[in-house]
Amino acid sequence: MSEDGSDSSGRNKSTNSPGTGTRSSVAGTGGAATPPDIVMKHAPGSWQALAAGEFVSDGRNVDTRRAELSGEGADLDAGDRVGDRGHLGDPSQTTVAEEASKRVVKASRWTWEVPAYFAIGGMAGAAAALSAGAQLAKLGGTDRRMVQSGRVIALGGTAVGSVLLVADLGRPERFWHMLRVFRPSSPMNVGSWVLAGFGTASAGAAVLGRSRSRQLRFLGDTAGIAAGLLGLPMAGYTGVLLGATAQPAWWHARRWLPRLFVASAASAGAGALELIPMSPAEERAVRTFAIGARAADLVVVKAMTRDLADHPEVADAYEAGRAGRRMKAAEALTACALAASVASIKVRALRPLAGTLGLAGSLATRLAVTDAGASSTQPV
Amino acid sequence: MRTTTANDPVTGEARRVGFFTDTSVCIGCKACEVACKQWNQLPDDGFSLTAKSFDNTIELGATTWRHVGFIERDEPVSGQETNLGDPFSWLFIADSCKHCEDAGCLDNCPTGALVRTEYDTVYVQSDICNGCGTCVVACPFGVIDRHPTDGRAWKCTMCYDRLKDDETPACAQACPTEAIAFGELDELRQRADVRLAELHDRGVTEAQLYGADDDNLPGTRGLHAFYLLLDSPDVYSLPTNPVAPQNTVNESWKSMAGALGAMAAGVAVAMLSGGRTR
Repeated sequence: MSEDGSDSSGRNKSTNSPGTGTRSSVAGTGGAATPPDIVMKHAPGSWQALAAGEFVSDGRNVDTRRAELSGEGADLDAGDRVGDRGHLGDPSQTTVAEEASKRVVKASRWTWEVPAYFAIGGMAGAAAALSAGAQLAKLGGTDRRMVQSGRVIALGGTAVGSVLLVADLGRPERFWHMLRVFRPSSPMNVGSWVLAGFGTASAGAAVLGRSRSRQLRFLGDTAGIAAGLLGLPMAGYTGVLLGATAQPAWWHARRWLPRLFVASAASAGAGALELIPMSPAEERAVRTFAIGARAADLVVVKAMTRDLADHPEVADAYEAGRAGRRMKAAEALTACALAASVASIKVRALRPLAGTLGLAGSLATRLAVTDAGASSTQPV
Repeated sequence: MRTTTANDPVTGEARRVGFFTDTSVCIGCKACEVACKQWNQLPDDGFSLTAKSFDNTIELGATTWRHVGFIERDEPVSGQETNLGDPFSWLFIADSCKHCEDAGCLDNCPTGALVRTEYDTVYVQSDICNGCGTCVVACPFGVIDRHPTDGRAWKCTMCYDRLKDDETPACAQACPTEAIAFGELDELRQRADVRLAELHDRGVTEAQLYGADDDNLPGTRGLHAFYLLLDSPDVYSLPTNPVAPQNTVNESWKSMAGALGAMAAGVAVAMLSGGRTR
């Protein structure tokens, strides 16, 4: 243990230093009384030291006497290397490193959890909106299957989606920092508030909706309406979030991604409800919504493609490689889901198929768009 | 969108500081890169070669806050003579965070970890950042990055800790040719204009400023770390027209609002179709 309370590993102990708590600028001055250069009563980097204003912390604190680093940034390591060196002298070859050096914008660090959340959160939002609609229209009589299953889907989607979002954070234990501030300029911050409110309302609606007490049921119904209203931005804010980035494929599609994501979420929300048997009136409502949503999804994709044709390199990101394959798959799945939901007018047994295809199409759409963003950052 | 500048809690003053990086006098020695690594105690990039350039650092990242890029090419620069038979020029750019006037990372940060300091610089508070990665996709220059094991976003701080002690940032302090000039932003801009005129007088017609003011790069309303380049920005892997994405975010919100209106109407129509009696 050193005098200032940090041990040799650079970790801080929040102990007060013994003795006078002052540090001499020269160690072992032979008894000459040098004035203390800095007063440090606490371990560098500790919250006590910060509170006492002993020095400014940038998270990378150097104990100059021991040449030791402590505090938040002390554990940074070199991380991953850019791979593949070699091909010396062969100008026809490019290395990974060379490509990286020509990249202008960094590709996102997000992994599969994020597009998965886009799909699940959107589905939850649309399901809640449909549930609130059914509640207001008094569909399903006393059974209220559509109302209640919409609420449960919303709650489940929020729960799973939140876990996915937290899992993708670099510091998951700090997830609540999203709600430290309200920052309208940050779509992710706005979305975090929407998600928090939506989750709370969905939980209230799903849990209290089945209550035997009339007052609690009324509370649940109020929460159901709130969840339905917040479900709308839940379906769309992720599109805004991607549009507000510097990734060429997302930024150039900034007017279209919100529309695409809303339509895709609507298709998925209806798809989730199509998996659940209901009364004929409820099934009819879900089906009408599903058909409209899937038609809108296909139209928006076409319009977006046409609009992006002015920027060949961006259009290419949506057409080439894995993003292109997923984009085509998404379109095919959504088209099949549309066909299946239309066919389910006559053949009721096709409902679950239509729902499954709709959900798959929505997930494929989000994966495709996420991929396109990454591939648009690669140097041409 | 303009974030307000906090005043220095001690002196009550606000300063607008910046870097003016004059690549025409950069000799590619990488002293700034090393000084940055040393002062900020950043780990090395690993001992490996690109095999394509004398630069082996490759790019800015979570543990590389200053990067001297080398551009070796078979094109001449006006006023330069080489003893080679073929045309050749070797460009350098001491690159770092640009500390944009309109910073994509800052306005997109959902936690408030990214702040505008009393020096008008952009700073990541590492005790707040939760590693969501929004800033990584929002930076039009590809500067800030999320560290793979630490999990948080890191970038140049313009040596906030040194500024606090009225010191010059480490890279500018170490630069032997004053290619990285640190100072008050207004003075640096005047200095840049003088230097540009000087180069143009000497016939170096390719010389151009990058990000010197709002007119130069309207998408970010100028940069607080701006450059004098000897060719077009894309040669240096810099974006030719960077746009801070929050400046266009309202278009997306409007699109979303329209789509949500359509969706709400869709719900209403669906309920009517469900409610009608057969």
